[in-house]
Amino acid sequence: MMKPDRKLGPQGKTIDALHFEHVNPTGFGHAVPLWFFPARDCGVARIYLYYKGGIAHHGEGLLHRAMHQLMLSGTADSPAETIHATLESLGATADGTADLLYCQHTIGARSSKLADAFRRFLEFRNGAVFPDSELEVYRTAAASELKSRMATPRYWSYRKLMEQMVGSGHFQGQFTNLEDYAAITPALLRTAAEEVWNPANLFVVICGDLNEPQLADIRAIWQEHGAAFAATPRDPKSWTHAAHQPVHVEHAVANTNQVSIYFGKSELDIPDSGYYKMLVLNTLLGGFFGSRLMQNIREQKGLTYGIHSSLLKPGPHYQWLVSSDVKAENKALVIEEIKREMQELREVSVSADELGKVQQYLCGNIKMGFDGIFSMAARVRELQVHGRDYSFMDSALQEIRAVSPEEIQSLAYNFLDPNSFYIASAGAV
Amino acid sequence: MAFRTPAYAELDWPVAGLLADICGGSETSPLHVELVKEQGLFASAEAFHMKGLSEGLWMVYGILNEGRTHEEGEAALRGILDRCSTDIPSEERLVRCRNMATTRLLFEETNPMNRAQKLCYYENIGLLEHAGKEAALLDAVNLSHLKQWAAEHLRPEKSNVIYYSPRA
Repeated sequence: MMKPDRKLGPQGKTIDALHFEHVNPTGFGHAVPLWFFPARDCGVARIYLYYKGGIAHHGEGLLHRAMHQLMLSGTADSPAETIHATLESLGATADGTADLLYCQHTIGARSSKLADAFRRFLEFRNGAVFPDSELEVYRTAAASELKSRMATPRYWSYRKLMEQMVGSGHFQGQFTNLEDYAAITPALLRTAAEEVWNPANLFVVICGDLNEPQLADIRAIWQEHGAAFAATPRDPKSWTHAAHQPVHVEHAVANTNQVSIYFGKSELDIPDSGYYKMLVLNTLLGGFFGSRLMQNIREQKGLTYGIHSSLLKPGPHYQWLVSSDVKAENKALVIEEIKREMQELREVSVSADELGKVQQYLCGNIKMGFDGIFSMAARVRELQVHGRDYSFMDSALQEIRAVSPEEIQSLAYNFLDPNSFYIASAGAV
Repeated sequence: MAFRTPAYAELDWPVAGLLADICGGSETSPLHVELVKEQGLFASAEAFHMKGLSEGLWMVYGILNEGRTHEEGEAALRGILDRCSTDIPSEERLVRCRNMATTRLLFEETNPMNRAQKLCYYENIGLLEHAGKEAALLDAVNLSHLKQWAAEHLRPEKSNVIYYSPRA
C-alpha cells in the first residue's frame, strides 16, 4: 500500500559519483601512521593529531576534556600568555578537544609556518604543567557554562534519557556535576596527558599545501620532539549497559514554558554493510528539512521550530535519537505524532518519488562531506575510530541509491517500533 | 555592549575586525587577561565585529562571575574600550592579530562553498573587484587607524548595553 499525498522535500539534482583519493598511511615516525592529503596553491595546511582512545576508552570525560583544553596553559618556563602569543605571532592555531571515541589536537597555519608551529606545540605540550591559576580559570568558566546549560530543558531531556537508557555504568550515562570540577588537579591532568600520548593510540592526518621539504621538516620535528611516550597504553575501561524495559521519564525544570523531548533507542545491532540503508530510513523519518517529522510536526501542524532524528555510532553499536522542543501544552500531541510517524513507516510503503528525493538529498549531503581538502581528515578519522576501510565510503552512493521501498518498510518494521524507544521529557512537565 | 558600525561597502571592516581581535579575540587579549584571569570579574569575555550589508555591530560581552554586579562589569568593559584609542593597540598585538586574520582568510578560501558565498556577497554590494583582496586591506591597517576608529565609534554615548539575568 502506498500513500500518494505525502508532502515531499525539495527537488535535488542527481549526484553521480564520489571522487576522492585513496591515500594510504605512511610512517610518520615513532610507529605512528600518517595520512597526507596534499593540496596545491592554497597556502595553508593543518596537522591533525588523533588519539583513538576517547572518553569511551578512558572514562573520566571531564578530566580528559579539561586536559585537552588546558594542554597549552603553561610550562615551567612559559606562562599561557607567552604560549598563545608565540602561536599567534606565527598566525597559527592549536586546538584540543575530547570526544567519545577520539580526542584530537589540530595545529593549523600558513604552509611556511606550520613546521615551526608544530615544533612549538610539541615543546609546550611535552612541558605542560597545568598551572593551578589556569586550572582555576578553566573551572570557573566551565562551571559557569554548565550552570547555564543546566537551566535549559534541552540539557535535562538528554541527560535523563541517557541516564535511563544506557545507565550510569556506561560512558554516555556519566554526566558532570558542578561540584566535580573541584576534583581536577594538575597532577591528574599530567597523568592523563601522559597516558593518551602513546604510539599505539595515535594517528596523524596532514592536509594542505606542503611541499616535500616542508613535510620532511615536520617529520624531523616529530622525530625529535614527539617521543615523550608513556611506557604502556592504558587498558580500555569496561562499561555496562542498562538492561530494562523502555520507560517515559519526566523531569521538571523551573522558569520555562517549554518542554524538550527526546526519544532514544540504544544497542542497535546493525552491521556496517547495512548502515546506508538505515541512514536512508533515518533521513526519511527526521534527518532533513523535508523529512516526515519536520513536514508534519513543524510545517503542517506548527508545533515546533525544529525536530530532528539521528543515527549515531557512539561505540560498537548504533543509537537512534529523535529530539524536539515544544510548548508545554503541545507535549503529548508531539509525542503521539512522533510515534504515529514511526508506526506509519512500519505499515505503509514509502513512494518511489519520496524515497528518490531522500536518496538524492543524502547523496548530495555525503558528497558535500568531501568538499575541500581539510574534510578528508574527518573522513579518515571516522574510518579509523570505527575500524573501517575506504570501501565503506566507496560504496556509499550506490548503496543509498539501491535501497528499495520494501527494504525501508522492513527496516522500519524491525527497528522503529515506537514502544521500543525510551522517552524523556524535561521542562514544564 | 554593542556599537553600530558602517556598512560593509565602506571598507573599514578590517579596522573594526582587527580592533575586536586585539581587544578581546584571544587568550592574550586584555579582556581575557585583565578581566577574566587577573580580576576574576568574568567567567569569559570577548569582543567581535559582525559585518553587515547595511550597518554592522561591534560587540563586547562578559559573563559575570558570582557575586559581581552588572555595574562593575559594565565599568570594567568600558575601561578596556576607553583604552582602545590609547595604549591597547600596539604594533606587536597588531602584527599577531593580522597574522591570525590572514591565515583565517586563507583557510576560508579552501572551501568551495565559502568562496562562492564570498563572491556573491561582493557582487551583491557592487564591489566584486574587492573579492580576494581582503589580505591587502588587512595589511594596510596601522595603529593610528585603530586608535582613530576606536575614538570615533566606541564612545559611551554610542553604546547599547543589555544586562541579562537568567532567573535562578
